[in-house]
Amino acid sequence: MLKIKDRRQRMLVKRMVELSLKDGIPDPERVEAVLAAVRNQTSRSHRIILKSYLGAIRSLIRESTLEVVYAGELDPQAIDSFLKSMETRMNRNLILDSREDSSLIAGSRVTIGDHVWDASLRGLVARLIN
Amino acid sequence: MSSIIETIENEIRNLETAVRKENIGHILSIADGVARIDGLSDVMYNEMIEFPGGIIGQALNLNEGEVGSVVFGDISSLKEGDEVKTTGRLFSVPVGMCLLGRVVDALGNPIDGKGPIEAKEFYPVEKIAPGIIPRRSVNQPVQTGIMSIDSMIPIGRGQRELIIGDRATGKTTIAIDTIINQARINDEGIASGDPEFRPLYSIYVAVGQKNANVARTIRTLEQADAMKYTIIVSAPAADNPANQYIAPFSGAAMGEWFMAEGKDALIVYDDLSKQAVAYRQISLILKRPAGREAFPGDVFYLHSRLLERAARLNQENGGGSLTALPIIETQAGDISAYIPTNVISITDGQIFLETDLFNQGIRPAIAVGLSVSRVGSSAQTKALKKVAGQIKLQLAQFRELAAFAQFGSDLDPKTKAQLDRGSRIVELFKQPALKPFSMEVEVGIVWAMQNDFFDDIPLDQITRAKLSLQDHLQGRGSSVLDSIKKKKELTDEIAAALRKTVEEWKQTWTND
Amino acid sequence: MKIWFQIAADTVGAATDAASTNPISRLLINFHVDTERFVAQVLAILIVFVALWLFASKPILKTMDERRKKISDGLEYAEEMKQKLAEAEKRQAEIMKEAALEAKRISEDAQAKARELVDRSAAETARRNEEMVARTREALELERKQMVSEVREQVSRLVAITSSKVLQRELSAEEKTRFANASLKEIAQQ
Repeated sequence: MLKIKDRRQRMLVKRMVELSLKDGIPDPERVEAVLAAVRNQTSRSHRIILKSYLGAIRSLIRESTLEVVYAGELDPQAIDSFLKSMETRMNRNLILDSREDSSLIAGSRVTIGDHVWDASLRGLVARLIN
Repeated sequence: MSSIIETIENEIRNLETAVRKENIGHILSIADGVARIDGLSDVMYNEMIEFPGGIIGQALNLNEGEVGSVVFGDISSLKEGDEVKTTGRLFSVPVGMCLLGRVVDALGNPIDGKGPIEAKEFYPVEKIAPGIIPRRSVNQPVQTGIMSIDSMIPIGRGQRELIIGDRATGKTTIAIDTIINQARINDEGIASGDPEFRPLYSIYVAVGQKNANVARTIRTLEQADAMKYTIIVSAPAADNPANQYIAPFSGAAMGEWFMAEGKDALIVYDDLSKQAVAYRQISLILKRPAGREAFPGDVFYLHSRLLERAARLNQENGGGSLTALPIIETQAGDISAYIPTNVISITDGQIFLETDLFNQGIRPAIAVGLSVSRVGSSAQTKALKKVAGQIKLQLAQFRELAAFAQFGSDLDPKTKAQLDRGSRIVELFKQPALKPFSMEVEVGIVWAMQNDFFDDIPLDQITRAKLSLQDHLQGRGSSVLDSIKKKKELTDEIAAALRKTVEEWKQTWTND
Repeated sequence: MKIWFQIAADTVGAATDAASTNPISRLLINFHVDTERFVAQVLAILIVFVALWLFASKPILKTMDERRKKISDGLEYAEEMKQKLAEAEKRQAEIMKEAALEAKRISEDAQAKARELVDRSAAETARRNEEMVARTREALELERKQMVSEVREQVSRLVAITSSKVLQRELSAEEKTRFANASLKEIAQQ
């Protein structure tokens, strides 16, 4: 995240981030609205503020995204139920991003932010090799 | 071959199949041995971080949104975006008796080509020093074999004695002489079968040295048969600054194992100035605020927490000890610079080596007036304390009167006698490198000096006389030396026998 | 003095008168021995004798006595010196003997030490040889261990890679789906 030295600018970015969230997750419409509100700023620090806002939103999206990568096929209901259990566990709403990846051989790999749960055969084999 | 297959089959059988949770991050930038990492939200300070390719790093900066980590090893294979993982462990090095005789790098990996080290235990490189209660006062000597040090600046087991001086003044030589002498004492003690004998193991940490120097040191120790009691930790100048920064801590961890096991160890840090420079480099790259001479604000803490780990423990905690001999290189003899004053205030004394004395041929070039051991005579054997008690005072008086030496003919007899005695003591304390004396020989020679046996020997023959006396003591007077070695004190009986032996030698001595 | 001469002459005159018939007197008369003169001469001789005794003989005798004493002292001293020389020679002989014994002792010591040195260096050589053999054995053992470890690593890697390739091909879609569901359940329970 870009560091802003000016306290007022920091507070501004924080407020922009708060206004962009819906149920704790960045909402596209709200983000658009916030950007529209600050678009006409002509100050020198406008670019820095936007970059900092981008870094914060990116970080929030990463923290809020439940990435489920699996080999084979997964029942959509199973995925939904998994999403709900993880939301309960994390005590916040999560954005689901699931996809198939045959390189995992079997099993799945789940990522939320910088936490990874690797239950794939590829991970197991990699640990064996190491 | 069948054993190999069995081993692999066992490995597969015992494989952990449970899901593993990891905390990951991605490299934002990497340069000069320091990586900035995004993520790693669960990382702890000083935690070991795993980079791709088995490379290890240590988290040093926990900033908002990024983690600053030093990388130990070759960073050329790392790039932006690479995934890194926390390990949940502090950075640790292998420890144990299996390291004796080996040369390892700052991470504890062997670099002497003698195969892997099968260590059963690993100690963290960063460890809190023993508190006040587990400690005990220092009263066992470390015999350096250098007469001037053992007589006037005695070092004890558990003490921190700084060796400070300009480049090429003999700092490393003092440390190596000590290691060689200790190895000789260990051999004799073990051969004697004395159950109360405690060997002293040595650890030599080379920080920022030239590879050629380290190789020469290893060869010297091998030739003196001292390697079997020594561990060498090498972080040469070609290593990255992170390795040079961590090497003394790795050595301290290895020394702490001996201390925890109730054994005695000696660790030489050669030298801490280079470790401070490496730490400065890392801190500046991590954008930590620079202080005096661009060193970070915690450079004192860098050395204090390292040196405080040298201690002597009481019997309830095993009775082991770790003696530290840190080496600091000064510039133009300036001991009032930042790092030297820091380390002087931490250690229990210093041995100051002067270039002028070295150039005058006084080697070891110890400036007696500026050198001190705060442990003092508690760390001397009774015999040596008895004979060497007055020497420092005599030398101080000699130095004071030396200015008048040019007026040799105008001095009163007492002054002249003091000057003569002082100059003879200076001559007596000259000693070639890598030729340490045993304690009993030191006692014999210093006793002879203090009892006027050298007074009628010309100054330029004192060295020859000393060697002749040494030969005589080790030959005809070996029984006296044995008594001194056994009793460690100069009883009346032993003093009488010593007098007889020295008188015998004096009768056969002729000036050239 | 004159009185004494007169007395002596009267005595001699009286004696001559009385002795004119005496043979001795007749002898004295025949040889013209003048009695007075004779007495005077005897007296003179006596006086000279006394003078010589007092002023010559005594000092000479004294000097001679002194010389005799000196000579006897000198002879005594020479005797003493001779004795002392004999003693000194005896002492020197003893010292030489002692020195010879000492030299013999030193030489025996040196020989013993030389023998010890030879034994020690032989033992040292034997020890070094043993050490070299042990070191060679250790080095061979290390090499073997290293080789085994390397082979183990390579084989493990091959087995792992082969297994992954085999599993990728051999697992059915159903099995893969089953694994995926099971893994999600396991993660949820973590």
